[in-house]
Amino acid sequence: MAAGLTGAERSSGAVVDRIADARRELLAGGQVDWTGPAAAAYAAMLRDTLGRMTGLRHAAEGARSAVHRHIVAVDAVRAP
Amino acid sequence: MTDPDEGPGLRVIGGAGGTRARIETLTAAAARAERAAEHLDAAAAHARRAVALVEESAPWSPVTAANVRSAAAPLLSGWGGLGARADDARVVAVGLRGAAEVYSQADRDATAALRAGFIALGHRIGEAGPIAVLVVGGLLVRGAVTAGAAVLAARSLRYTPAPIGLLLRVLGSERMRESDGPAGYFGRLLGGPGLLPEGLGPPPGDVVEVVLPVVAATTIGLLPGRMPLGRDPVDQAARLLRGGAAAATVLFGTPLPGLVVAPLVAAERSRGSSREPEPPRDVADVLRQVDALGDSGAPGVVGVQRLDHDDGSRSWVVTIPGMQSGDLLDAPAPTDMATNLELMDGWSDDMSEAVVQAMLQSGVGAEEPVLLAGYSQGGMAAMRVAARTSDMFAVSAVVTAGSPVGGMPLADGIQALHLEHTHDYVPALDGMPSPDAANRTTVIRDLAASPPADGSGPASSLLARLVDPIRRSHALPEYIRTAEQVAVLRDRSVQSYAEAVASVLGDGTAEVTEQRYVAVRVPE
Repeated sequence: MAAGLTGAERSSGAVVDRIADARRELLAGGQVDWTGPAAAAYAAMLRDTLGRMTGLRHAAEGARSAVHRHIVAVDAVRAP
Repeated sequence: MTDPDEGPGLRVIGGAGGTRARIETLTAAAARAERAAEHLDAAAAHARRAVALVEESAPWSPVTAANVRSAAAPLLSGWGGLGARADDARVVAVGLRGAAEVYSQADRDATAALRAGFIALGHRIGEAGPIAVLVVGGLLVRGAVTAGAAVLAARSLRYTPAPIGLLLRVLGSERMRESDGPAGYFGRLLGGPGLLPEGLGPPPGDVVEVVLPVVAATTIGLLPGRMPLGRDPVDQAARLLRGGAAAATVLFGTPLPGLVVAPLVAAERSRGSSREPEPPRDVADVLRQVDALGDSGAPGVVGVQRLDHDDGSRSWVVTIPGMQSGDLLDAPAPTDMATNLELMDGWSDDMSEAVVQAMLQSGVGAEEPVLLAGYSQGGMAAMRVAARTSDMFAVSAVVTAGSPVGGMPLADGIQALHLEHTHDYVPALDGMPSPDAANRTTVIRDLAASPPADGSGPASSLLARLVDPIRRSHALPEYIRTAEQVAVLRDRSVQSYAEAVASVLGDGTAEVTEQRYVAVRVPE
């Protein structure tokens, strides 16, 4: 496998990991004992952001699989 | 005003549910949202890099490269991709920091600035000399008398068949009395039966808390020579008074610089008590033990209980009595006024030293959790011991009842509960408001909301209405009852404190070994 493609595989994996890290931080920050209209707005915004991030995580996993398939295909073509 | 959710006449300040804790939680959540934004930015950078590297090899497999491009498109989208979500997280962080700032603004109210202004004014008046103090004092008294006479006159005129009588009846109507703000205040002043307003009584402790530093600053200003005003005039006045008392002891009394702390084994046995002590289950039980120290027959007695739990662990409860003598000059019992002054101004004091010696003699281990409990002066000593023995003992919790501890420091890891009563002036004697810290919960009870603990009926005469709340307010039995009421509160700060206490007391099945120690000052 070419060095560039190794980097591509590593980066596509890092995308998934970093999204998971971000999600973990937001979930931990959501444990605020806070009431009132501002708290409700915060909870709604956090819920929305976490929901969208779930979609992004699925997209990142799809991209990682696509990168892997591309690497396999390139290796197959380049193979003597 | 009492929050109906907090209990009958109970008000909770600070602790895990207090403003300061909330600000800290919001700020921490904002920091997490910012870190989430950084992670998402990094994820976007990785996604861009992966696509760029795939592009380099696209000629070898154009179809799979196109698939990668397509799969990565949602991640790199300008409006719904990783960058946009990072912006969302940053917006969340900004919102949280804004909310924390709103709470901070509410926390930094004008009271502190007003307090500093009044203190500086009091010091100036004092420095201007005794005549200025008399003039200002006379004006204040005259103003108070005039205001009182005006209220009496207005209440007398309420039933006159004239327009002014009608106006006063409207102003004092039930509807006005129940309203908030200035209208409600005037309504309560003018309405209700009798010549005197219904709510007439002694001023609450927080008024004393404001007035006392001003009086202290004025007194310091009155002293001969130019005496600069310190950061806290009450502590400064206490220091001056203690210095004067120490000099007076040398001139007129017998200095007692030594301190002996000894176990009270013989005294306990001679009382014929063969019954095993009951393990304390909550703060009220612990305060009952503080009350029981008075049965020892000697002043200056400290109680130390060892709790051996079923799981083999061990914890300790240390109980400290209140002031037992008003002596300013050195006296054998350290539970005196001199100790009060030393505790207030931060000097080393004999009662805290006695508590530490009693703990060492009992064999309190460095890792074994300790609950320190004190009433009045004992609460100050408990706070002092907790603050100064972090390298010797593992103090988990402190409870003070009727103690002026607002200005005393405490490490973050120690949970404290400060019980106060609205008309108890003793907790106000340091002139400092109750601290709003995440580890310090103050519960203030208005005794008017419940009948006296001693079962006496409500006061009828004006004098009794003025004196009764003050008399009841500093009594330890009332504080025990307050602790009982606090135990059933569903307040986050109180419940957080209760968890810390439970970590020391356990489930109430521990085997208890009790030892009392007596502290006596002696000539060296």
